[in-house]
Amino acid sequence: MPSDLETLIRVVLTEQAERAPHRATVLAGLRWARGRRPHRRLAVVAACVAVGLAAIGVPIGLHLTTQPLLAGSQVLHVQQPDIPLPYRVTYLPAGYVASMRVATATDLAQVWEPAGQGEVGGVPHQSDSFVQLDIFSAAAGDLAQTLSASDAPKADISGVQGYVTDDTSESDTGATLTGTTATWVPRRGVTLELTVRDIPDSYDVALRVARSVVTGGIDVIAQPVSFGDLPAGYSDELEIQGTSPSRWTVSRTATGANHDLAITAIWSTAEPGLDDRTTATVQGQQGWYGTPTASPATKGVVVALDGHWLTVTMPPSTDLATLTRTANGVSVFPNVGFPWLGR
Amino acid sequence: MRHPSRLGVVPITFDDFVAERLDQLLRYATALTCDPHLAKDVVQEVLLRAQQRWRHIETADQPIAYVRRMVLNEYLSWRRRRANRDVMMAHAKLAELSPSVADSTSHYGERQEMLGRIVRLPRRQRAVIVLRYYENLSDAEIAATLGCAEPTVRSHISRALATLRAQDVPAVPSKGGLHHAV
Repeated sequence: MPSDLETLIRVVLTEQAERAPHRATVLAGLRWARGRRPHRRLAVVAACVAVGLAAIGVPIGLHLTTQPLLAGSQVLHVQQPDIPLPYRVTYLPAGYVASMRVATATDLAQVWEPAGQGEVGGVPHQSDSFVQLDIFSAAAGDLAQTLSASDAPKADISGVQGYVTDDTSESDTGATLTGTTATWVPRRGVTLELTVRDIPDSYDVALRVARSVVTGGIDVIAQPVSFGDLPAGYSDELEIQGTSPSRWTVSRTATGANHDLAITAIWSTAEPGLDDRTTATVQGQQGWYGTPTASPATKGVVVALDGHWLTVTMPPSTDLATLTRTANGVSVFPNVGFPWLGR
Repeated sequence: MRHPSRLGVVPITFDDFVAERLDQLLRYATALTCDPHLAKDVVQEVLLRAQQRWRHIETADQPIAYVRRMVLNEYLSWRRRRANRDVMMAHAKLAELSPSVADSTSHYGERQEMLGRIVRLPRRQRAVIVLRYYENLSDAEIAATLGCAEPTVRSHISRALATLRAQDVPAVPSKGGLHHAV
């Protein structure tokens, strides 16, 4: 039994710690958040999925062998239509330019970062500062109900009640970053979320950008990479990021219903790193098979096509035949451009 | 792209880190917040952010220390000022966890009183107490974690202990009667 102050404190704190919630609640929350909030680090999320698969050794190669991701030649070389962006911002802080667009089953996201960001010494770099607009569909869940039940501060956003929350985070260097997220429901079935991070007066900036959002416009998310038809239960996500119309990377990831498979096709202006490479024939061209430097927990094939680079990665247990067959089915459309990048 | 390992540190994947450390982080956050619900929110938010910058964290000498610091910062900067609710919830939950017959009423009451004092501490003082008596960190380690000087840590501990030693604090606060320092 505790006999002095310090012992009593230790006992009480230990008792409190024992009341910790079960890990399943957090894991469920993480899965939900991953699905709902692709954010601009979507590629990292996809990579983590692949890494997780590798760690638990799921025999996905066999699955692919018996159920090819790509249905057949008739679906190849048919470009999927552009995805319209139904909302756009009409105000941004000075110096911010478009750096990313993301499309998932439930979310369309646009990101702006300070001009001049993107690469440092040839290494991809993301600024801590950004503005992001997410357009969530009803499939993302009843966010309006969640919001109305929250105690988040309210604000008028273009005539509807929105919710504005501040938060802090850390930069890679440990500096404290401040951010603000404004969320509102402009019409039934659509939730908009405007996030600013590491921008002075983030609350005011977030509100101003949010209030500048209008419907309409001609902005789209083009789809220059296609897997063709996906088997039932699969979903895919598309991410386009870059610093200019001549410096970009398109990443498309297909994932099974239970995250039991992740295949990523990357179409880029930059030559990717590939370790332990051996030659392989991909899409009728000489390419390479090996371990992608950017995602060492996967296996990948790389081939140069029309002056750009196509990389297809799969979990490390995937054999060369399966990987090349999958890569051969990926369609790319070199004439698709991204004039919005860097503007 | 993953950063190369530094000084022989073997990077750990985010998923492996979560598998190994999630329970530990949840216990730490619960001791810190005295609220399992808030602890869950804090840890979840931190892990989402940690995942985004994992390629940096994985190369740290101690990723767990880095993430624990993120948990602490999240708690200290927690904007949903639920202070009073924290206290009420903590006591309500504690009351639900009725002591077993083997635990004497006096000892249970003693711990309940202490919990009431801990949750009233200003957040930074409470953090210092948790880092000292739950995490067993030294003054220097606490100072590094909080980003302050060692004398500041000692000052926080001294004030916190003085408060915790006081005998005139009611065990269960009345609703609306608290002004939880943050």
